[in-house]
Amino acid sequence: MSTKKITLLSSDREQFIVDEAVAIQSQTIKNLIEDTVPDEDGIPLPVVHSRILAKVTEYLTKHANYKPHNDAAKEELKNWDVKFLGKLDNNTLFDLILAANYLDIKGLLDLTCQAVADLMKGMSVEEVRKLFNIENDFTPEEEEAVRKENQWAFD
Amino acid sequence: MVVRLGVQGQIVNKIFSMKKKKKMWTSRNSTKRTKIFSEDALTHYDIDEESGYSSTIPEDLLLYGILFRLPAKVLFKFKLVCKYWNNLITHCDSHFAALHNRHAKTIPSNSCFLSVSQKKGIISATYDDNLHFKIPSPDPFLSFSGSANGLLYGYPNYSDYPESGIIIWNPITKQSVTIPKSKRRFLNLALAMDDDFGFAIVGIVITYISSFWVSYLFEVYSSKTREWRRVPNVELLLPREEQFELRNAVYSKGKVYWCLMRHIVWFDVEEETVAGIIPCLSEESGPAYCDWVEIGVCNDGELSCSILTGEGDIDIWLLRTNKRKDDHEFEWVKKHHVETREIFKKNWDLVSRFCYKAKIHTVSELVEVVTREHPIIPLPYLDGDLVWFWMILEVGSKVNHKKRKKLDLKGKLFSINLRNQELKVFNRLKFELHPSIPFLPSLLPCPT
Repeated sequence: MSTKKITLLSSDREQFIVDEAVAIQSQTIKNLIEDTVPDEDGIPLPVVHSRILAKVTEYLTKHANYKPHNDAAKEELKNWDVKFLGKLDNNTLFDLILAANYLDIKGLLDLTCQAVADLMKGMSVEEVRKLFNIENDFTPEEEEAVRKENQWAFD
Repeated sequence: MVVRLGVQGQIVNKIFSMKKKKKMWTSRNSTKRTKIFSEDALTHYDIDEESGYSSTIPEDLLLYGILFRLPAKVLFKFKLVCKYWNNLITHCDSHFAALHNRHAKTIPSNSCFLSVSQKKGIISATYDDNLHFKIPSPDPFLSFSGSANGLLYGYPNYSDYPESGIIIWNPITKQSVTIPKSKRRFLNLALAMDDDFGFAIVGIVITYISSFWVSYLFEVYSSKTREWRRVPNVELLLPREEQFELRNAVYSKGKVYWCLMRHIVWFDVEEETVAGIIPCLSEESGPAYCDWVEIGVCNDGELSCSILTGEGDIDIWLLRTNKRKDDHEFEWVKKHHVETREIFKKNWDLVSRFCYKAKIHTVSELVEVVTREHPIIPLPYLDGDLVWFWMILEVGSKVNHKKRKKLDLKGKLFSINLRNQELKVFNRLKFELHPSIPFLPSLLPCPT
């Protein structure tokens, strides 16, 4: 087994040293390793802050070292994912989505996007506005028109 | 048009590289902001340098990462969030609609059952207990033959609208199309839709009736031919007591199925030359003959069959197909056995409120009525933990204005959660007919 270490450099220039097997679960990092001459300090990831990169590497380390062979192991990994999500506040969750998308980590992107979708399912329109930090730009008349047109969704 | 898509992650990336247009709709209040372009120069992020919080999620990630995971009802509610979202959801493209549909199919609780009220021209569905759609006027359907991918299809009353074609309607997007009518009169219809071949409508026609047998043929209208064509060399012989009227068709994996009383009839839409009959055997080896058999489709495309047994229990069978080259082999596997007595016992508080009006006061009395009169109609099983049934009880007789006694029947829809044996009743909907058409709300466009 290869134990080659890779150094990742966050946007605030903090170094994260991980096994190559852990890092290359990110397609973007894999491509960067193959295609570019590494920076002295490590592979620069200019859009991922250290706060987020810490979470990303935590996820990648668990998933690299854990190859579930049976249902019980799969269940355990699922439980770990749930716990992992449980520790995140909404801002971190959104930033993880962006990071997973940029780093091209399908598992993490699916997990975090599903978490946001699950949050939204139980939310009111106002709560969703707050979650995404969106201002309501409808006039009361326009709002009423949209509501009327999609009445079935509001019953 | 249906677009073929790969796995989710690929879609996100694929669409990212396809789309040039980027919009950011909002930004978090922050003091200092830098705009950074990522490696592929397509996705850009705002990063708050002090806290390390980046802000908005780009449009593609919002749609193809998050919003497609929401059930249609929740999604449509969020049109109210802001104008930008309203526009995104209202004018979503076929990629999004296909992705949304594919995801929604994997969650059985997203599906509901429809019932049509001819009087009011409304269909109701059991989706979060309440959903109404007005049938497009002035042409109320005589019947819906079924739904596929969130599209309802049916034909209007022949005697009232002899010239009308077949209507395909998406009640969610309110879009509808009419397919030209065939010269022959159909007993039943099935709509098949697939990424591989587009769409096809299969119609069933009687060719002749003998003393014991009825012979049927198939006609197909497909996205390839754009005309009604009789399927050559395929003829089906069924006993006279079997009837296609008022039977819902389902589509799965290249075949359409109709469930009759003793047989399940299937037709291969892709090959167009093969049709067959799957007999329902004894109670041990498959879903045996009974008054009510309903078929549905599970997540992986397997056909399910729900029946009420002689003891008043509900059995769910799955049909496994071993498709070899010139051979279609079928095998029934029992997936669930639901003992209604146990369910009634555990949920008596809820059931008794319904039974009280029918003067049924104990579990034993109810079980007796169920085994004697078969008032339970199992609905199609759609995978997962939910088994649905419709129970119809006689709740005394009313005296109408002509002073004649009129029998009053009340039907209610129930779902059983197999995990905890809990029963749920759907009270708010008033159905005239038992809601037998499974329906998964989708944003898919009608085929043209």
